[in-house]
Amino acid sequence: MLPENDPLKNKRSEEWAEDFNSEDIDQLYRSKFEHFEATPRPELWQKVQKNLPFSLLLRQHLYQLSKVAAAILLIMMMVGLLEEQLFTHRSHLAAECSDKSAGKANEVPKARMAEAPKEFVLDIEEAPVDKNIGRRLLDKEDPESIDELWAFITDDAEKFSDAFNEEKLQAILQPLEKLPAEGLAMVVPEKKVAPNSDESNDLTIMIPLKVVEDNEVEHLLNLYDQYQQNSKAVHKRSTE
Amino acid sequence: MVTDIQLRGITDDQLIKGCIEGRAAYQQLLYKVFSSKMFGVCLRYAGDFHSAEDILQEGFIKVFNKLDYYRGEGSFEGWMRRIFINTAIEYYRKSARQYRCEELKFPDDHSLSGNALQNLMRDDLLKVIQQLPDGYRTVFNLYAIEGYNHKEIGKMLDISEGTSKSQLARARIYLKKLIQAI
Repeated sequence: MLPENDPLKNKRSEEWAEDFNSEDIDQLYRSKFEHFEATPRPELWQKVQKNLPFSLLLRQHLYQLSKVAAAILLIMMMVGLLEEQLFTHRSHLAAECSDKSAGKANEVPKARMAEAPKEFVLDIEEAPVDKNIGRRLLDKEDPESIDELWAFITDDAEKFSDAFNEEKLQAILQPLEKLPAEGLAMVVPEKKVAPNSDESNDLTIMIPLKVVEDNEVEHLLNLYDQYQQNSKAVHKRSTE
Repeated sequence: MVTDIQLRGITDDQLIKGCIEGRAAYQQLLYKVFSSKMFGVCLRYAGDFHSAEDILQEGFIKVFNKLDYYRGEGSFEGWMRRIFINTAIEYYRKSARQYRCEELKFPDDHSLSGNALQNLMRDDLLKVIQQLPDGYRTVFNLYAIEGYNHKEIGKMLDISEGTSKSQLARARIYLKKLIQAI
């Protein structure tokens, strides 16, 4: 198997091994080439790509096609859903229109309704509702229930007795409780309006609650001052 | 072992799966990551640069074709390396050029110390190994660098153990003479 011009032909390997350290050569090549890397020309990848077998190319195309198919399927599903929604919406509208147009013609007389069989009506008894559940907790007369409520909020009943000042709380809540939503009613006794009159028809003035504008504040203050001056003058005259 | 692929956030398994699915981007990534390492192998087994490129090309096509057969036993890089070595062996079998018949001229014999050998440049050593007859070069690569024994080499190259041993010895002699000529 050796070539004819092989310089080592007709020689036995043992003959050369005498002054030759083979391990040096092996070691040298192992150290230099065990992790040897070399960058191939960039165009080589294109060659590899071109020479890929048909089965691999088919896989590539199938992968691309599968993506396109998935996208088409998704779009079709979305269109289908939209159409379904539109159809149901339209049918609802049509039903409403037909109900309105049919109107009284389809109305069943009350007497007949009452006579109608009741087999299809599910008679579900409503559970009795205890309307005092909420009130029980807020019952101010029962100090234990207030403690329980506060304990529910703070998870500590002792904190409630420290923090709760009933008088202060009432003072804060009172104006809100007494202000009626429709406005304030001011009753002026008839004697004040016409002191010499014998009749006692009191005058009731309704003051609606409204938001006072900035420009009206000054006007109101002037009116108040006038009222104060007038009342002082009246008081002075009456004392004289 | 952390490979370049893991550094890019893609594991070997993901890369292999992508290539099996035929995704071009994954195939290109696999080529990018391993082409330098595999080209180094090809250059050692090839007689010249162009043959190395041919082997690299054929090797990658084989890798893409046979990825289904990779069962995760051993490293993926090791598996690829074996494919490239087999491709190189087949390449020279096909071309029916088991030995190159160029006459090698050797200079006068000089003794080589270990230090002098270590100082040799890699490019020079590559040129030297590429000058070896194909058979000698293959046996030397398989034995000295890959670490196969003569029995395994015999099976791979379809030669006897004795032939493998004698070819290795001759390869070493050749290399010694050629290195002296540098």
